[in-house]
Amino acid sequence: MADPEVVVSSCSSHEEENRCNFNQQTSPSEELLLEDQMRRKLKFFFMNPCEKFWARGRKPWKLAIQILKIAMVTIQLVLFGLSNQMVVAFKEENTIAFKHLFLKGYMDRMDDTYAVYTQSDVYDQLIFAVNQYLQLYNVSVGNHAYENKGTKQSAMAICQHFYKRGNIYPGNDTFDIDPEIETECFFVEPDEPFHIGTPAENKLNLTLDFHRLLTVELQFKLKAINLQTVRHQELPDCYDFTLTITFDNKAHSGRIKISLDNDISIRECKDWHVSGSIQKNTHYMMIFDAFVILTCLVSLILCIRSVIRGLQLQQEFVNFFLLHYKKEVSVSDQMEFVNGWYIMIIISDILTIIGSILKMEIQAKSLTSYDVCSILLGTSTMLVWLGVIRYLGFFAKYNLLILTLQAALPNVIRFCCCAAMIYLGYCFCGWIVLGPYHDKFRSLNMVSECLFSLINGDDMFATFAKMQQKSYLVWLFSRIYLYSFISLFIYMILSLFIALITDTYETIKQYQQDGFPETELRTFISECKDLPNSGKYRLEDDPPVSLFCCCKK
Amino acid sequence: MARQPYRFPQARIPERGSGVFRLTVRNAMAHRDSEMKEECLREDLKFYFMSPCEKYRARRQIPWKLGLQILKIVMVTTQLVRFGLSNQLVVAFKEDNTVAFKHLFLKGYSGTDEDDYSCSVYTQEDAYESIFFAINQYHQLKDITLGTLGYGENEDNRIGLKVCKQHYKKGTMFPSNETLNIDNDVELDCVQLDLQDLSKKPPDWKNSSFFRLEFYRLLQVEISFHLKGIDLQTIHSRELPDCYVFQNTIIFDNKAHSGKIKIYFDSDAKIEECKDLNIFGSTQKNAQYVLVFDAFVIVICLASLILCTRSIVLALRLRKRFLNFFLEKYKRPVCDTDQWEFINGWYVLVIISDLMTIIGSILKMEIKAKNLTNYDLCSIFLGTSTLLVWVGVIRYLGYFQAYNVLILTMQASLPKVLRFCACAGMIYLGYTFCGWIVLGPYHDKFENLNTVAECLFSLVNGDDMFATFAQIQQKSILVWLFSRLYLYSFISLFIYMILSLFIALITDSYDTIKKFQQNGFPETDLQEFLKECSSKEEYQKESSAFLSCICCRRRKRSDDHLIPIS
Repeated sequence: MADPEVVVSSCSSHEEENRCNFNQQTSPSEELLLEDQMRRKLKFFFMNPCEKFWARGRKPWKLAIQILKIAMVTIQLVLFGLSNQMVVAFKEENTIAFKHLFLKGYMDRMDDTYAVYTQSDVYDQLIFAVNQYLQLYNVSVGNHAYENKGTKQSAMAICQHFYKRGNIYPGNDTFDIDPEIETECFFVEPDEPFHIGTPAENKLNLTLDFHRLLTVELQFKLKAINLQTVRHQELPDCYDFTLTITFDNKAHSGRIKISLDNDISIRECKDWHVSGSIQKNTHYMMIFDAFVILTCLVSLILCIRSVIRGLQLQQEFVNFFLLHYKKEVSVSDQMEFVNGWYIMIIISDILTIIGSILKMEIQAKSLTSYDVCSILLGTSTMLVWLGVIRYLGFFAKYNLLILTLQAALPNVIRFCCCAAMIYLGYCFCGWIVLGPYHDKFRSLNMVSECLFSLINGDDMFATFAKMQQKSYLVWLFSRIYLYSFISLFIYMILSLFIALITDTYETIKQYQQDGFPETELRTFISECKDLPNSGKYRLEDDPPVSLFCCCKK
Repeated sequence: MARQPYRFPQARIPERGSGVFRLTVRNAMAHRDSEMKEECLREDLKFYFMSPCEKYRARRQIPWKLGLQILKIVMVTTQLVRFGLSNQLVVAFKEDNTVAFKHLFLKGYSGTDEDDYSCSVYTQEDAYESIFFAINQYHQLKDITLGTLGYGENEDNRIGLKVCKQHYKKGTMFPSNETLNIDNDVELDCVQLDLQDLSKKPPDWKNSSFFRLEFYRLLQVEISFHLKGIDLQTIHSRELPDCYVFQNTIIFDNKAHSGKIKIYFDSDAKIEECKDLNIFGSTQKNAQYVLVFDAFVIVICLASLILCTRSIVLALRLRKRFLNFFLEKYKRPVCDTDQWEFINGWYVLVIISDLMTIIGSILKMEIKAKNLTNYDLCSIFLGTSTLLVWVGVIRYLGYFQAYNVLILTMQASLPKVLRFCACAGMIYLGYTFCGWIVLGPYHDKFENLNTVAECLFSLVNGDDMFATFAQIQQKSILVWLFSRLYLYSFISLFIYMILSLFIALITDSYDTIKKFQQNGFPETDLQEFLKECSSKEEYQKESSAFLSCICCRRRKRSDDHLIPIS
């Protein structure tokens, strides 16, 4: 927000006329007094914290609260992030461990290419997985165990999905298929005999009709305890892993893809006991979170109060103008009373409070929705740091840059709407024409990401090079498409963005030298000549108090 | 344009007493004296702000400082290149040995490290096999290694391995029932396996209870040992060979208890002076040549340091004279900007780089004599000083007007750019924290705060954008949508608006400087004072210098613009 500027302006003839009219109703001195009071109120409202301190000697509580809030919210976020990192690492490493345990011959980074191609390999893989499951205690280096259901351990389910009836003779181009899908399952209990033997023995009694087979799924549940948190003075977590190993033959292409999916849920351990000082640290974290919530509540209340006061003053000003000058205040002048920064602070406070409550629940192991908590805390921290720009804006030299960004934003958004039409056109076109021949154009989302990256100069040659040359016509089209898109967006549209920003910067600079265009509100306020430290803004019960930062200014 | 000096009007001889006449004469003499002092000060100031070429034309003094600086640039850069090539050998030797150790001692090592660990195991059998493999390979080292390796002694002067395991003091765990009972204290058990113990057959150590691991409370197993090696490749470069001690540690990390044991290999190399050295040939001579060269560099830099310090002292004295004169004549102080004109920033830069070169060269000589092995510190000193030396060349380019406009633009725009970076930094920090906390679980590049900052900085400059979009895991739709909003908004904001505003800032500064160059710079008190100076011809004093500077002679008189560069 720009500092109010004192500009000398003479009374207009319209004012004179109004004043003549008022002579018949009130005394001139009383009218002038009311006008002067209104001006002083408005001027005070638009002052920055230091000026307000000079005017009334009141301590800038809001400023102090905001600084404290920035520090606390950021510390809270960092602590949450470090804790979350451990959870994420534990999940990821368990998933990798399961792949190595249950997928025969699995090596890292094989997820996209892990597959089998022969019938015997399919049977080998199935038997290997079941054997590893049965020998879990003797094989795993982690704290893995079977899930208990009551007094019994849960079993591994082996299911196959296949067409109800089907005969296929590719040699004769002949097939007879009933597309209804059937499912057959059977279960392997963990307490069954130690080893189920070799493929030749085939103790599983499983027979697969590969012509009709769609998928085979092995599904089972395991449990583990994350002790890593104990070393960081946190409560341990108990994890449930629902594992699904899928043999995918849907394409009937001769290649059966094998994938392992791991659904993880975290719960509070039922019966745990840790010697040492673990409990204390968790209490400290809870107290800190409560303190963050309290600070944000105070900030929220102060900002809502300021917004309400702004609205009240707005109403007062509108009424005053209507009464004294018989005209309405413009919408843009009315909006000056609503401080956008306060709105942003209110939003970030609400997000922080909700996020902190979720975080406390997570730490007490009542909830495990880390994602929602992350989004709330992350967004609120971003808004908190953006709010720092408000205070930088109180210095004139920084204000020039902030005003340029603010003033350019509407133009940029308008221009983005125009450019977006061209962009969307290229997205749809690229998706539909190049999709079959280019990895990056397979889905609409990927096309958008690819084009957006091209605008900023990323991965350009690779995008050209990856185009498959199966169809000469489409290849030729892709060249025209890519060259035209890149030329249009980089050489023309981006350059126009630079022109927009440069023009706005020059305009704001000109305003700073020659003065900003005066609105009616600013004109009205500028007739008040009292300086902040003149003492005229002081209320009768405000004792003068010194504050170091404001005195220094 | 020189102004004619003020002439005292001819005084009429008064008819009354001779006392008045004598008083008038004394006033005239005092006035003349003050005027002479002013002229003298102006001449000194003007001379001070000349470029070396102008100074040569004015006084025919040989520009010793300029020659010395050129010589210094050549020698410092030569020294740095030689040091860099030598350092490359050391670094290559260390790295190759580390890779060799990994292949020797880590079972199934694939040749590439994961994030920061070398490989991993997932079954109990594999864990035991990896531990025993490392121990066996150590025992058979001489029979299998290709390098010049030998056993080293540890802190107890014993040759062998030390194997330590850390685990929770006591505990029981039943994940099925979500039940655990853990004592948070960590115990450390160690066993020393000497070389003779390993030589026994059958190997008793394998069956010891130490190697029966309870994985549910095991935190880590650490195997540490020392090896020695000699780097012979320096002989080809006619240098003395280096003797190395490698302190190796293999760590099996089970702290996460996630079913995956990470295996780290760490190798700490120390360079020692070889004890018994005997080399035939002319190696020694080359080392001495290098030492002489380093000593010469130190002498050159000392001379440069002394000359620049002297210049700064003279400048400070001149400033004091100017301040006193101004206060006496005009009754007001000189502004800070003019005072700073006397402190030539380039001389300060030269002094700093000279000091760093001298320290770096001394360290380098010690390293060559094998008394020190602190390559990193030496690299920092020599590298930074060479950077400053080359940056200092800009000073001389600044004397040519066409180059000067670019340098002045950078100087003029720097405060604005720094101020704007403070504003943009707030937005950047906000995005950094937000991205780390939300996308961290789903994206490698957002795993910790440091990599988030690097990733975002790369995105601002258009690097790796598609890969950043593509890498996000799609486990959570909510986070996936958030990541799209986050990345599109960050890139749009920073590239289209903030970078464009940077361009506007630089463009504005460039336009301002260009305008000043056409219409003249705003004049300060110092410059106004200097303009009153008379012609430079007064400095054309006779000199017995036999060296003529071609660049000075070629320059035309009309090109002489006085532009002080600070």
